[in-house]
Amino acid sequence: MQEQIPLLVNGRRSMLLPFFLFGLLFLAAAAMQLKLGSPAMTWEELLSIIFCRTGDDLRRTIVWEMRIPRILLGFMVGTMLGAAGAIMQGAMNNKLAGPELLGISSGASLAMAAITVLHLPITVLLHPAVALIGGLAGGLSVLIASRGSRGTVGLLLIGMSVSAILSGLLIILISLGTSNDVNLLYTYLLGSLANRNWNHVLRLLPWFVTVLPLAFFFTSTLNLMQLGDEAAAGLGVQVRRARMWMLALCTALVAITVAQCGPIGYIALIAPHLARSLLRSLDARSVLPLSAICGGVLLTAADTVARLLLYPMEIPVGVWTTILGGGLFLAFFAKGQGGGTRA
Amino acid sequence: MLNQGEIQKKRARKRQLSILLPLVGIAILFVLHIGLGKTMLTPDEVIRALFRHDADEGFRHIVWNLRFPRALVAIAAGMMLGTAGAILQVIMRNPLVEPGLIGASSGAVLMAVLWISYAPNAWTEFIPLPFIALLGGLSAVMLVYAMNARQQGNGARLALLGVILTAILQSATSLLLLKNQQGLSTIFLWTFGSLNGRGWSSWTMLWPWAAVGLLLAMRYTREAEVLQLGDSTAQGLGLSVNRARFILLIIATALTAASVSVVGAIGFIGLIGPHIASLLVGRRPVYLFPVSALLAALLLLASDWIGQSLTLRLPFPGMENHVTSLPVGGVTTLLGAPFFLYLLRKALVKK
Repeated sequence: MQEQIPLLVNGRRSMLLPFFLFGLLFLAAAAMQLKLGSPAMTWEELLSIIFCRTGDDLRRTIVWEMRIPRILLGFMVGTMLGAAGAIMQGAMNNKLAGPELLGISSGASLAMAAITVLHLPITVLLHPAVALIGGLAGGLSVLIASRGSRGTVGLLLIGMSVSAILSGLLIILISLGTSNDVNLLYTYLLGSLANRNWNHVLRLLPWFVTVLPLAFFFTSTLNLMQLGDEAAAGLGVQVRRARMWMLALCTALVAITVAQCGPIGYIALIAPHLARSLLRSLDARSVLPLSAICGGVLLTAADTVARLLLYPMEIPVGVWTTILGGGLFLAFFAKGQGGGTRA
Repeated sequence: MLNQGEIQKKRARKRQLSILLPLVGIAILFVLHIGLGKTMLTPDEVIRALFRHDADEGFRHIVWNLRFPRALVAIAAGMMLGTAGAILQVIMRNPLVEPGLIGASSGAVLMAVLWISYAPNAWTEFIPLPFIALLGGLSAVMLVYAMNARQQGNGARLALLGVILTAILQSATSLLLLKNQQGLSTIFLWTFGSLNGRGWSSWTMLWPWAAVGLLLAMRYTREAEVLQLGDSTAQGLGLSVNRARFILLIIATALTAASVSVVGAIGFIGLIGPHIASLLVGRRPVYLFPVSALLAALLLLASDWIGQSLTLRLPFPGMENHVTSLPVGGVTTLLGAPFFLYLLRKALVKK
């Protein structure tokens, strides 16, 4: 119960520093993303292109039509993932929960793979809805399968085995496709932000604007649920119903991102941890927004690395986030922190 | 009062049956498996093509050069994975452990892909590949084991660590694959395990490892049995626990790595085989290891048969172009993951 104390002593001031920090990091990552690559630009060129809209035509197109939308998309997707992670960890009262571990991501990607391989006639605008159905199905089967079992590790493992079943289906689907599809699908399934333009941003925007604010309705419930199911119920929360709604919202957030850029792993898992440890607080009112921003910044930074580290070879950003995020997760877990062995 | 001798006799008969029935099953499936394909052969034709020189020349070619080695590879790989799973379950005292779940397979795949991509051409011959894969698999297993060392006896935790390490290793493998795009889709399917196009060269690469590994596993059954009793008891009985465990771990990983470098990371076979075996013959390694091996071989052969017949029965679009059959890893995952779920629920709900 010691962890509960900081909940009460949260001040607004403690939020300023982390926000400032993340702002700085975001600017740095965005600047690198804009400036480097081929063609690399000088600062002068870059500034004149962005603020005066002058300069070489080709370069202007590259900055405005390729690099800026990519940054925006990465930030939006990361924000949604970060928020989803914070809500999910609160709803399950489990700091190791994440969409990639609970069947949601794999359900959504299976749905998307089905569209690609079977050439289903579904417009691009409805892809998020299809992904949502897949994600919900995946998440629900995990919840059903885990009925009656207790403990974090058990839940996560059940999530893993449901994911394994889904990925078995995925393998079979992929092997049905023509090899052209396979290559496309492969980069997609790793989670990538490559070759995105304003269309993708515009497609994501309505979902982003409508679904993300819903998350903030839940902050006070989240705070109460951290006290444990019994205490929350005693304080007037309808625990089961609230949990269902939160999980549905998470699924929606994650599925939408999967439809746009594939399953990008471990951002949703790491962002809330970072937010909590930076704020030294568990108050969802500040953790949730910071976690969202943290997710956005992390993804933008990871994408910059993914694009530039092995240039001209571009690595899908999901590969990096899984390697780094999974490593961090293992570290948390091995230290036994974050409720690893507690139920 | 039951006669002690009668019970003994009954048990012995059950053991004999547990060895015999899988053998018969393998033999039947073997013939069916060979008969299956674009050119369907009846069991009679298969046997004639195998043993009689006066059989149809075309049939003999199909059977001897294409399907016979594939079935042999399936059996050998199944036996290796089954034994590896049984050994791992015994030394970790954990029914949820499997070569694919504790990182052994994915570590082996990573090193194998690394080797194929970067080693000098002369060295990418097939012979060193299993050794390299062994190196990768062993480091992954040791890492998982070391991370769980402080929390002995928490089986689910070990499995979770393994699964996450597997995810990381798979990502690293993807990284390598993306850097070397040629043959991406072939290798992609290989990372899930596939028997497509495995011929005599695969068999020559596999069988020495299978023979040595399986024999060594049988050689160390006594140590495994003592190890099962718990560390302190084993020590009291005069076994050097760490050494025995390490040797068994190396045998299990070597079996896994060799099969991975030939057929890819086929999952869940090493989980189901040993589990059914322990239901049939109990947990004594002398019986557990061979029965697990046979059952796993049976399962792998059956999965491949299912995969192939599904491919033939269902007309898929684009199927003719690049895929001869569904990768067997997909089939075993679909069969095995629900089974894992069932085991997991049993372990969790009981507590």
